[in-house]
Amino acid sequence: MPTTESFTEKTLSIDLTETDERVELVWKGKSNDRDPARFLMPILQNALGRGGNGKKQVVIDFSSLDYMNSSTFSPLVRMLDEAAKGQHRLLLEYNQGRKWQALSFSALKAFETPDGRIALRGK
Amino acid sequence: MRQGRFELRLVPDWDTVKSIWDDCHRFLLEHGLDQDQAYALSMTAQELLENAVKYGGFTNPSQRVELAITIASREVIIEVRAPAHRDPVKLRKLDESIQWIRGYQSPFEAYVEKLKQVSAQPYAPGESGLGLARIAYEGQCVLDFYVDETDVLAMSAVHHR
Repeated sequence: MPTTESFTEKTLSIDLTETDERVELVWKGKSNDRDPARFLMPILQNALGRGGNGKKQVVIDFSSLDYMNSSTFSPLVRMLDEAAKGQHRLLLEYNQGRKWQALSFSALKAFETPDGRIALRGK
Repeated sequence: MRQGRFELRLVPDWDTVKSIWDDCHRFLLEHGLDQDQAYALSMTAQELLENAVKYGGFTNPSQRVELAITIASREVIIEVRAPAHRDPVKLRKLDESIQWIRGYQSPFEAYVEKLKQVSAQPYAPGESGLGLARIAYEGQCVLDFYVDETDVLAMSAVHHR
């Protein structure tokens, strides 16, 4: 039975769904807070923790996100760095049809691991 | 692309600068830029305004941050003006950040390198230079700045078409 939780901070909402196989975070709206890490880091850390260092895949779906400022990338790339150091399995999904997402997330492909544990997928 | 100019004088407050996204985007679309260009340049304006609010040297409540978007025949110029910070080290750091981006063969490489640098550092709020690298890469803009005789820092991003 999936469990779900929602987190909202001003114009950004994140829905977390956990099943036996995976933990999914779906981002919606705009992430343009002055210090987005304050809101995001506990959610991202919590998701990695639920992933159990690779037992479950953690999926972050940005495809419905309308905007993220550069400050939002800081907690995100720190999470990618942390995930790469452990056994975490992490998939970032984005909307390839939106040019800003295609540009932003193609740069994040630098964090993909050769074994596919950390991966990005345009959809 | 129709030539034109868009100017705003804003209270240096986070919510105020966030709220002008739609106005910038509409102006750029109305002057013939396509959706993707208008989005990228609205992002550029937003990042410059955020930097001005975060790091500007505001010392009294009457001071403002100014945004000007100029659409010329071959380029779009986005300029944000705010009181310069009194600490010369901040200006030197800004200059170094811009020179660092220019030192790369492509803005993409600079942006990826900056993302890697940020990822390896422990979290602390403050200047990472990520916004400037993003402007160069996603906004496809050339960055520059000067400080005028009234100690106003004018930061520009020029997008050549």
